[in-house]
Amino acid sequence: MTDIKKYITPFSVTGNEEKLAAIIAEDMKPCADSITADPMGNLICFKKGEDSSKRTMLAAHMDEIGFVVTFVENSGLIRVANVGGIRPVSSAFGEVVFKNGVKGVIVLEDNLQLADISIKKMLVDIGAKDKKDALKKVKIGDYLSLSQRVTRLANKRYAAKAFDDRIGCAVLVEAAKLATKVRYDTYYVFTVQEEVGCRGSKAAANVILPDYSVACDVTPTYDTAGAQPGEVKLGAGAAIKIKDTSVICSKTIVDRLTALAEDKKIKYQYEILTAGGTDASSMQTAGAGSYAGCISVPCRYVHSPVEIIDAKDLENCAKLFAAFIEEGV
Amino acid sequence: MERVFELAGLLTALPSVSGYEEAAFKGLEEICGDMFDEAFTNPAGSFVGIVRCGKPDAKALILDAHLDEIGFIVSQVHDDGFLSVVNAGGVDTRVLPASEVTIYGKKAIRGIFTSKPPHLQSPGEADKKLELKDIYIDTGMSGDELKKLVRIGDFAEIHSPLMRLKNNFAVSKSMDDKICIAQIIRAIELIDRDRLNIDIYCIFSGGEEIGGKGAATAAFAIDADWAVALDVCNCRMPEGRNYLENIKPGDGSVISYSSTTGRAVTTSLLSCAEDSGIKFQLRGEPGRTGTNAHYIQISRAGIPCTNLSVPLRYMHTGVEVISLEDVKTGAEIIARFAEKLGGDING
Amino acid sequence: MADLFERLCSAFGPSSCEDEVRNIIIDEIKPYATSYRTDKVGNLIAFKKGKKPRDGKLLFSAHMDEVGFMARHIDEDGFIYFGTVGGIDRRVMSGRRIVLGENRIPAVIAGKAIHLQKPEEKGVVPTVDKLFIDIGSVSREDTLKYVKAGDLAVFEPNFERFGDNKIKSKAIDDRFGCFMLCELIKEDLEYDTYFAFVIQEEEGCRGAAGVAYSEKADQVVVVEATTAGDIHGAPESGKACILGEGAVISFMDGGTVYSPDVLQKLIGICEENKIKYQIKNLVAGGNDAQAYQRSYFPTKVVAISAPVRYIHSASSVADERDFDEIKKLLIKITEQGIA
Repeated sequence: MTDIKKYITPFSVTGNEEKLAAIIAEDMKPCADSITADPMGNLICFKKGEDSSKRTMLAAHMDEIGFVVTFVENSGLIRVANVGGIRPVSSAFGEVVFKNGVKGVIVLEDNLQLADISIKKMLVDIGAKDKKDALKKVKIGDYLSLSQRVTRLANKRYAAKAFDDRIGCAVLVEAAKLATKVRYDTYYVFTVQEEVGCRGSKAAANVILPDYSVACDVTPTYDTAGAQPGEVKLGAGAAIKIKDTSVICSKTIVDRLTALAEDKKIKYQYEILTAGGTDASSMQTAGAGSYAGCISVPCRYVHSPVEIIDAKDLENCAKLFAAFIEEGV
Repeated sequence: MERVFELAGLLTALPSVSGYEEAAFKGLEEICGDMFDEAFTNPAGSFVGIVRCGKPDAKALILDAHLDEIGFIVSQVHDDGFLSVVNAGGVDTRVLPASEVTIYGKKAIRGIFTSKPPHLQSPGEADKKLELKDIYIDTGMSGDELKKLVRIGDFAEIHSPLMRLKNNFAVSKSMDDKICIAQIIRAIELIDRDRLNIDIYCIFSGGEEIGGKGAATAAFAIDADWAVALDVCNCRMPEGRNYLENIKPGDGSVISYSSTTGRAVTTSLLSCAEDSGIKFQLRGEPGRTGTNAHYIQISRAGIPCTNLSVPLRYMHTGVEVISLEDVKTGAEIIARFAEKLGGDING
Repeated sequence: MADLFERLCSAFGPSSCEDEVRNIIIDEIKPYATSYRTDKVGNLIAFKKGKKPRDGKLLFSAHMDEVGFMARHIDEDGFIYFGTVGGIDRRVMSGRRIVLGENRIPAVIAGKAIHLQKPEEKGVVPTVDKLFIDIGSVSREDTLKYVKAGDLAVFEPNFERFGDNKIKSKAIDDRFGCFMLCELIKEDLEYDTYFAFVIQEEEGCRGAAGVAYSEKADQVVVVEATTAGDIHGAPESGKACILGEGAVISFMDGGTVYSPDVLQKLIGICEENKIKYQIKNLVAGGNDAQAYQRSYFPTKVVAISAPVRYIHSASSVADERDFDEIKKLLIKITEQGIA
């Protein structure tokens, strides 16, 4: 599997995906006939297929959730707004890094009760002496994210922030490398701004107008303490999405992925996600519509600094994608 | 009226849960395929039938009614022969306990939603919000047998067939929005083809209950000059909203002004109904209409779109009640409107 | 005749009924625009030839519609129950004067008088469904002579200059943008430039979506009015933007994450030309930029706004000095683009 760290280390808060885009562009070179970026920053890698009567779009999003500076107090403490679905409790007292490299920590207003923890009550302390000092280092509109730390756990499982969805990008690159042939004209699209409402994929899909499309994203598992009843488990294989709040996947794609997985003996499971959406929704409704689905990487504690994935799942996801690239629908 | 009742029976029987409309395409073709010059389907679950006027450079009218209905998707197949499901579209959980469903696995099977008996309920439980995750479908089968027939992702729908009530009212599941497909079919039958100056694209759209996907994608493929989205609307009933007090089943289909749709085309439709002496009701819907008009209006460079509704009681349950009379008169309005477009009305 | 900005602000133009505004604009730009057209749904698109052709297509966009009201239900006594068109804070409706329908009938929005309120109702603004419109009718039949369900209304025109360079009016959002675009069209421009006056922004950026599709611009500048929170007692961190402090530039709002490169370029233009600007310190709201950014022809987008207090009310307040700064910035953008 592609070096995981390489993909999950760069700063890529929504709207600032260019660093990761450059890394992916380099890695995709052998697998693409052309690589371009659109005005939003979506990275579009095109590979001509054996059958050019159909277009396939495969998408994984490059952006991660984070924060943006909105105000600097006289004390030099910094107010921020969330970019994407931040869980305030999991960010409090975490270490952060700004896009320009400045480091800081997230603190809370004093005397807060646990239930009152919210982004509005959070401040970033970068060690500045006062407002003037702080403004020398950061300015309004600067982006920041929690600091990255990758921990290898037992059973080839890893904990880190924002596997969502840089790990999906890694899976897609790996699949492009694994595929021994390409059935349809294929667009590997590494999208921007998914975390604020699948915006990048809308723009890209509206231009590509695919016939078939498959997203790669992470999906929460139901094997954690206090989870709602559900089927997806960590380590139980590639998750073929049936439905989430943004999309009911096309039966054509679900059935095809199932058949490919059975055929190639790739470990798979079905996913129904009751809160959250993915880029598959934008691809399904672009232009006159496409048959859309999603292969998800099972991931515990999504949108926390300790998201956990299982390397075996990654392999299964990549293999299933590769099979789809090779054989199509 | 009898024709409308007949169509309602055929259409409401088609399985077409949101996201799974393909299952209804064949049946739809059988019911109305003959009246179209061409037809196609799209990935978002829409069936599009085209009526050509045969004149060169004809403008185009979209008539949209959605094919999909709310329903359920199997999320777990339990070892004891029960199923867990999630919703497709806005399901009203209050009407589910002990109701009948049909599950479309390898074959169609009957199921009953569980209803927890009083002795198992904790005190005050009946006053709490009922959540779909806490009720199950009882298939009466063993888990082993069930797993051979049903898998995660199969769909299920309410079982509640068409029945006639007093005063030409009728009740069924999925009147929302099959009754408007019936209305469109009836309108096409009523059109005097010699007077037709435009092509008509009938979109029986998928995915309305999950965000207008079928209408948006089908309208994009067509690029029309006008559109009418036909759907059902809530109306006067006990404990209803004050602004619906004057909207009653039997008083005609409802023409809606909205700040999100085309005002000029709405006025044209209204004038057409008035001029033709066909009864209708008028409604102001300040924001979103909650219909496919919302999506069609902003397709491509914009399509002037309006909204015609059949008043309906008890929406999103198995006992949706409508007046067949409203369907009939609404179909007449649409037929006269289509005949005038491209001629008397041409903006 | 009143000046253009006043006429634009006073025009009747709730979402889906922008004709009156569009006609004023057409009359105004006719002598200056190279060409213009109204599309199927009512967007107005104008082209102004510059001294030179431009690489790529630059489009300025402003919306013609304003927030307002729609009649829903007429009761037995002839009172008209209504809903809002676009987002209106329920605290700014009761006791306001409006004009209603095609015949611009004068009317008021009202609720229960203070003497009739229960103790727990006093001081609490009622919800919209408890408010109603009174045209002075004596019965349902009487009202129906003048009004039907679906009729639209807006706040009564009340344009007035006051204070230090301040203007008070309804609908500054976004007649300000329309005004700016008209002003630009009158200028001798360096390069070819396009202008869109769009419909239905207040109902979710609906007109702009169509223009994005038909015009295929490479760069879009949305000219808007945005909420200023610089009122007495407001904390510094909550002001969003401040009247008199110049053009408002957002890095992010509820609908768009603006490209850091574009923002950098704009800030550069402002600093180089000593144009007063401010960075909005609130991430909220949204504008037509979102429709252009993610259309079938993705574009670089930016929003440049005038700070406006009490936006979406009968009496929004702006500072004319900001208009001058914004105009300077927009002229520079016609020369240099945003990317």
